[in-house]
Amino acid sequence: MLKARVIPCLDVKDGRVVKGINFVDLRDAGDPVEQARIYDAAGADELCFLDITASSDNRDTIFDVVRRTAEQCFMPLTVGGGVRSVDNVRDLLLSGADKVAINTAAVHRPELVREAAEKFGSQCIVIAVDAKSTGPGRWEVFTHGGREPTGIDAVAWARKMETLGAGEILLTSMDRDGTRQGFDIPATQTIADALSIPVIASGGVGNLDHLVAGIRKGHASAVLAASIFHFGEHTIGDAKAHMAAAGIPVRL
Amino acid sequence: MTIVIVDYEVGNFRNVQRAFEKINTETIISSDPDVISSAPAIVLPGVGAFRTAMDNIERLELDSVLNNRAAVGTPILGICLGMQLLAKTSTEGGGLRKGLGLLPMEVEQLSVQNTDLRLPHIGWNNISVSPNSQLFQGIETPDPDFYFVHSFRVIPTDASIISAICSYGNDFVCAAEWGSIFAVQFHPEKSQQYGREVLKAFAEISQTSSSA
Repeated sequence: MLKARVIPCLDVKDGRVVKGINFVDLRDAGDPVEQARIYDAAGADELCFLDITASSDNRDTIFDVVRRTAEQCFMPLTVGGGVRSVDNVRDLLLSGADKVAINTAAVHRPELVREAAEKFGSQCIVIAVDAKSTGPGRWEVFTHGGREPTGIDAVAWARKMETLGAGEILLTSMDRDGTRQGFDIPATQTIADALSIPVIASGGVGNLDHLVAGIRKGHASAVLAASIFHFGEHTIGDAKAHMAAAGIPVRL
Repeated sequence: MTIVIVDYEVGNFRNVQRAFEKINTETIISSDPDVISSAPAIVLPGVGAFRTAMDNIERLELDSVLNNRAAVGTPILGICLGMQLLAKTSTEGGGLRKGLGLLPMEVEQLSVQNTDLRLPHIGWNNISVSPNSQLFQGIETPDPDFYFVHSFRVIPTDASIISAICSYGNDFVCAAEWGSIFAVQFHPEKSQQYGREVLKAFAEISQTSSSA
């Protein structure tokens, strides 16, 4: 049986983790490679790197980080943030990323999704959708890390991305991100039910019940979280045990 | 002994190489027919589309080289798309595209009709291993989890090649072994400890074969 995936996410800036594990035994808490190794050993099902480097001058550092992480980790690695072109996708894949997440560039030029999927296969193209509620049952797509509204309906957008060849949707609720109040379940469920590709729920996880709700009520195939793991409140093992106890198939 | 990882310009070969490094097995990545012609063992990795991959293999004139190696009993391991390329045909991309034809099987889309399952099949799924399989001999649990990312799968025309089954809506064949030819639909290089055991088993088979 296919298992629900638990995916920790690291924010990486200029090659350093800015929001990551605060474990005391880390030699270098800012080293993404060391954090990735810990999550690999802890049985994370995948790892997500979000490159939040503001300056485009420093793009090369993420390739180096991906390369060094891939040397150490034998689980799938998704890298997102600042992906602008088919060449960017290729460079990240060649550095060792298994999947590349695209957001802003897909909004600017949706054909990029088709081109990238045709060239590298749908399986490595993840579309990151940052959605904000605009009324009951309605969500709008935002870009630039949630700063820019687009006027695009998130459900229609996710469908379009599926048609163009996206292999997965990473759905982040801008309303819930950082609030620790749980996923936006109506948004997750509406979009997951509208698609036949997997949806990764993201944004708002504050406790382990939220992970269960993302799969059960949100119909997500995977749950992504950052702070509950990074600050040592819960381990990947705790999360999976909790989900298993709720009857969700997980890889233990 | 150095295993040759075939580079046919699709997919991420370095991750396969890194996984072999982790189990102290030497590999080189090559698309040179001469290098592959003298390889003691061959890995055909791959992600992406069947048609593009076969077009590249034929353009690089690797199809006849791989056929010749298979004929003399060189161990070959196909991974994911690499497994599918070993089949006789595939329906991916519409119509019927000829594959390498090294294993008696055909490629078709995963069947998830009348289920609420999604395609691609992405994530960790447990498999059921045949007791006589060589690739899984280092794994004690009968239903290990492996990482899958695919929408197509093989259908053997000779059931004797089946070495493991996975269930996603319907059962499908996720590993095959036939003489010196091995194939897995999952990604051993991304499947942590069980994946390493599969690569280790292939490396040992290759070692035995090359010193014979």
